[in-house]
Amino acid sequence: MFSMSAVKALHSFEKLTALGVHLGSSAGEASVHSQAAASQILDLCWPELSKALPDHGLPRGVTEIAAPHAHGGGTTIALAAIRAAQAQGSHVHCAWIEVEGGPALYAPELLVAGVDPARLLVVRAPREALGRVAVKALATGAFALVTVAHGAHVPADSREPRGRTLDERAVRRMALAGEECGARVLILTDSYFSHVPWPISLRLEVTRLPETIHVRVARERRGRIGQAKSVPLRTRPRGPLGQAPSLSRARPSRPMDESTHEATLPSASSF
Amino acid sequence: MRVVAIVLPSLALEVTKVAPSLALEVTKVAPSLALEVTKVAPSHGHEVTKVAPSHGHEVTKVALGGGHGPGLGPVGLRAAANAPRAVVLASRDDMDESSLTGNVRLHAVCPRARNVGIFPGQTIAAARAREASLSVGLVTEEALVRALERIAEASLAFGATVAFARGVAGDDTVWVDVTGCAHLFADSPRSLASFDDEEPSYAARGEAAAREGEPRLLARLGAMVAGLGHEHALALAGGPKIARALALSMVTGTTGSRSLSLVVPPGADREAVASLPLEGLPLDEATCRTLRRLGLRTARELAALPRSALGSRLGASALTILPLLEGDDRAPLTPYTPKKAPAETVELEYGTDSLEALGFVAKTLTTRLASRLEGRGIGVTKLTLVLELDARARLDAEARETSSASSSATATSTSTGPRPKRTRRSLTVTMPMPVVSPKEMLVILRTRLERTRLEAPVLALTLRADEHAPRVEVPQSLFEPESRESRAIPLLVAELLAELGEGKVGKLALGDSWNPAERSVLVPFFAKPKPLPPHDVGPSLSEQASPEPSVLLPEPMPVARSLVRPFRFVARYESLAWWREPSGQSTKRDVLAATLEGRAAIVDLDKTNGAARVLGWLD
Repeated sequence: MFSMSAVKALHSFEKLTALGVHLGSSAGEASVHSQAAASQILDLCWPELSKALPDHGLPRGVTEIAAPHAHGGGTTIALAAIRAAQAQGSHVHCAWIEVEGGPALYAPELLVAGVDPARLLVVRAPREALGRVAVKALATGAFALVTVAHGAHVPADSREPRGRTLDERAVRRMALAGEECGARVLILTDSYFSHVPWPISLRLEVTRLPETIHVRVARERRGRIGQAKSVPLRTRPRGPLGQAPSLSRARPSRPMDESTHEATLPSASSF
Repeated sequence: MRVVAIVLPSLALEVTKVAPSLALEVTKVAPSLALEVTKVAPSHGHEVTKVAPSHGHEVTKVALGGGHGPGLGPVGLRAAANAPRAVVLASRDDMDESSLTGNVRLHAVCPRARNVGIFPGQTIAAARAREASLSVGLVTEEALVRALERIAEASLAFGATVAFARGVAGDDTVWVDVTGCAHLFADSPRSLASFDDEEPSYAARGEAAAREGEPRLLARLGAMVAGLGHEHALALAGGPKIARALALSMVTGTTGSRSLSLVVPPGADREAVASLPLEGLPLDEATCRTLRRLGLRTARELAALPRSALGSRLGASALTILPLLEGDDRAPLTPYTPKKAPAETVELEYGTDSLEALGFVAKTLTTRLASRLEGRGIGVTKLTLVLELDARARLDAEARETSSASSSATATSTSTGPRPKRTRRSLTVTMPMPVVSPKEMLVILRTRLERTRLEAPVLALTLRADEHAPRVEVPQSLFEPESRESRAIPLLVAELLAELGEGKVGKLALGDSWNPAERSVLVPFFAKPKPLPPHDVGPSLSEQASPEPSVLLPEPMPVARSLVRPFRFVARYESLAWWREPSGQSTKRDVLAATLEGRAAIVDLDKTNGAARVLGWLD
């Protein structure tokens, strides 16, 4: 009888610990825990976005960023995360896995976001191989952050067979592979794509407006959900970390020499 | 001059066709079936009730009986591994095992066959009369030369000049000129231990290091040859003939030494030759017999004879033998120059399409190719695996498919012309960095094989290093471990390239173009960045700069202009690459940032016809 209640008590304690409640912890222990927790969070160096996130950064494990048609600001957030990860050391590499034949990551935007392209491995894989390639990349232990751009949901009536997208098992494999080497995984998905809950640390639902990204926490390991915030895009980090934005002139908007042609911005009515 | 002779007494026996079934160790089999046994495992010692007697060292079909009962169990083939073996040298190209009749003479025999009185030169009929279970294989001259080339090429890691010679059975030899190389294998502090009192001269240090390095060099060379799967005897002496004679005498066991490597110190060649028996010298059989009749047994006794008498006794061979007896061997080596693209081939005894079996054969190929690359100090950057497929099996399969498809037809047409025996299929893998490790090569090859569908059984495999580059040696820090990234990423990239194909793996770079679609290019991951022209400063980091799309569509997507809600002007292009336009007319385009049903996009507006196309998304 006594042993049964002891087991129950132990289970309750484990549950509470999992929820972040530390019973009877001293100040020293608390500080150790807070330090450990801080090391688990990747600061994105984007204060406005950090405020919208439960831990003010990207947690370890798998994070899903869902957007309508998979185009709601997920790439901008992912690039900020890659920039922050690369800033941890000159040897830190990241990987970007996208669907072959789908929208492709754009090099100029990469440079604007301050990502070092030499330390970002880009893989264009068939949709059904996304999970396998991601696990393979994570298993090497060479990448601090692996982003899987799953792309827009394939409608059921398309020629592509159903069930050939990321599933729960693939995400679990990614989570396990990432856990072993301490890597983070970002999955950019279509919010219209309904699936069974994945074993993830955080799910953000984002919507892109011309000047802002609306971020809502839809799922979180400790239940801190519902938090929503609009993040202005002008505050996004630009250029490499620790380097002031370049004062170089913008790329000319016209192919011809400026001296021969004068720039004339069209008015809204002329569109 | 310091030369190592590597004598390979069993080369012909070692270079035989590979049975793909040897590839795997089958641990579980269904006892009720006739099974393909995939590895000889003598330690298991299970009884085999039926053994196909065609090959001595492996068995193709067996049925299990006895002690296993209805369950599953490991298979062992004890009897097959113990059978004596012999090899016949193919006298023509189209010779196969079916043409081995009783009057064909043996080229080489294994020690077990020798023990029962079977020797090279006997006919198969005579040998089988002595031992009925003798297994006879076939080896081609080409295969033997390929094996010697492999060893010679791998030996380039030990000396600048290598050479080889085919001999009669049991004396195939590879020479390595290691003059001035031995000190590289010495341990410096120990070699200087003898110079306690005075500062040694440069020459003295070199001699001491060479003395210490020679046994180590020989040990490493021996390990390399053993790693390639060859029995060998090594001798290091002052000339190629002396070294070969000493190594051969070790093989035949006439020196009484059990060691298979021997270092003759510089200047001691005469003594070393003197210890040889008469058979160890390059004398013809008749001269050797005559000298034996005169009571001579060793080279020392021969050297003691007066030179004038010896000259007449030895005849024409006196010119070779007399300097040898003095320890003077200045025979030049004919250097072997390796082919530009090193290649390895394995012929299978019968066709297989099992990926596991092919993976095992690929392991052999990669190990051999890696040893060649190691010898030349290079790494492979482009690897080609050529599969020779059984064309007849392929044609038969195609005929079956055709006949099943046209079920209404009662008769199938058969081709009357000559049918090709083999068809070739090449699989190419590109490596991002020079790869030397056989393990890495194997991982990449296996990935490529896994995504290959074989339409017929494979009869032979050739692995070729089509492109190679000097191996990159990265200096390591004593205090900092090698970074995980530097080791893992090249292999991952190569593996992904093998799996996904070219142009699917790399890094992004700015393209030198005004066209937005050509502004972003995927380049090989380890390619050096191409410098952009001076006028191109890249995208602006200013907040006021025009937005760039986050992702670009593979093809612009036409949209109704009424759906486009512009919020930012990006660029205006006129006559952009007009020569590529189908009509050849100049075009005017406005590129805008716009919303499209709530999604931010970069839209291209054609000013001439008003068409709108989405170039990419602001994600």
